[in-house]
Amino acid sequence: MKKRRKFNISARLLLIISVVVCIVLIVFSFKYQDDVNSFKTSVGNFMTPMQKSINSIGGYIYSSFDIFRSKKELIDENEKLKEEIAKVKQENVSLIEDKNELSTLRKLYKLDEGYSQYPKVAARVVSHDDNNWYNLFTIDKGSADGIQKNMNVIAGSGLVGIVCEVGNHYSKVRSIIDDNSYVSGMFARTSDTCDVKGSLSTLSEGYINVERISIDAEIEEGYEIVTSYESDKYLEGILIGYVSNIESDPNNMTMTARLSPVVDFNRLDTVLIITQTKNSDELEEMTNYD
Amino acid sequence: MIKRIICSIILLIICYILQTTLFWHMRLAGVVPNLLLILTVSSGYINGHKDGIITALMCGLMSDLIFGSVIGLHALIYVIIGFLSGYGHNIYLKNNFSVPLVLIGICDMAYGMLYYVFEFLLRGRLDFIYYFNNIILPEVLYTMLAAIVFFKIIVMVYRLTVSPENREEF
Repeated sequence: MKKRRKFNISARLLLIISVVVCIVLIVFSFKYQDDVNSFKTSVGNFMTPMQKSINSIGGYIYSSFDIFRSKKELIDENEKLKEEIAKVKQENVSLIEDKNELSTLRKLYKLDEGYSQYPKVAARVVSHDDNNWYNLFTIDKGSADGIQKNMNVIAGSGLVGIVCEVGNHYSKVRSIIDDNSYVSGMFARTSDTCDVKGSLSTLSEGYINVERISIDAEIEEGYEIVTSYESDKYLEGILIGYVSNIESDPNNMTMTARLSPVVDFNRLDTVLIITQTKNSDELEEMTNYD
Repeated sequence: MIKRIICSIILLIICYILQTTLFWHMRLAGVVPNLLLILTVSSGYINGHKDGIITALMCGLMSDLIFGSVIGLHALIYVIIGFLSGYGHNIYLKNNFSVPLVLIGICDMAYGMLYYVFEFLLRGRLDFIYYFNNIILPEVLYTMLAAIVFFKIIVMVYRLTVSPENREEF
């Protein structure tokens, strides 16, 4: 009986103890970020292999659901769409548009060439953030594969995000559409700089915000935004997306716009990590000058 | 007590993995159900305040350690919810599944609001109506839907921890 009494802490006391522990942890994690990170890494190392296997099963189930749906509906839809496309194509093909397309494609081609000079590593997306408020995900490559913090992540021809935490065999990526994300970008054609900010509230409509564009900038809808030379984390010249809805701010000094990213964030399964960080790049240049 | 905590840990790991992987592929309206919250509330509802708090603390820390930027914030929110759900233990009824569903719905709503206040309102995102309609409400509905299945599983697992003669009351 005595032993039993020992365990009998009242629920309120337990609540107070837990709340105090939480608050201490919050303060502690602000103060000693590095120590905390090593502990986080060990938990991550434990969970990631399990997530990896379950995720592949999830992907499989999902794709098999997709097949069920596609049987009839999609064939009909496809037929209709094909007809429509043929019509629209005939109507819309004009010389000016071709010309526009040619110039944008040339730009894209150049950008693509730009990426190929960077060393890259492919990685698979393993799991996603556990709540609906942020856009972080885990990939299956870590420090053992040469990944470091602040490396840029791309998919296809566009920027996905940046590595924000690295474990032995996993790392976490903050995507550019995350509410906390901030990228300094510039217009590929005019070199006007701007800030690209992720935003949860506009994401469902398919765009994020571009802010602090100079009022003098001669820009039009549909211009490409790439990462800027000014940024200290992102390598220069990676395509982010296309602008639309350009409006001038009430202060008449700057403009804001919408940006639709080139990457489809709902269907990310493999990404490329550029294994070169901006800082090491600069260091190399400095040693070259010496 | 020890048995129940071990059970909670196993359930926690399973729920966490499912939530971040399998359910991410099965998103409805862009949201994932909050399985950790189902576990916390069920544990408080089935076993009382203390279990609620302990499970909540584990769930919160897990969430913080893997995806959070500040350790302890999720844990704090979960602990408050775990304690409150312990009051549900007073009206615990065997084989009644409507009370826990409502409880889980209310708690998820509270979780969403607390999370909004701590993480978004403090950063100056004032458009509460938008977040409520697009994140909190869908999450509540989907979580309640998932709870129909998961609550039964959780009850079954906790039943295993009770000695056979006491199993009747579960």
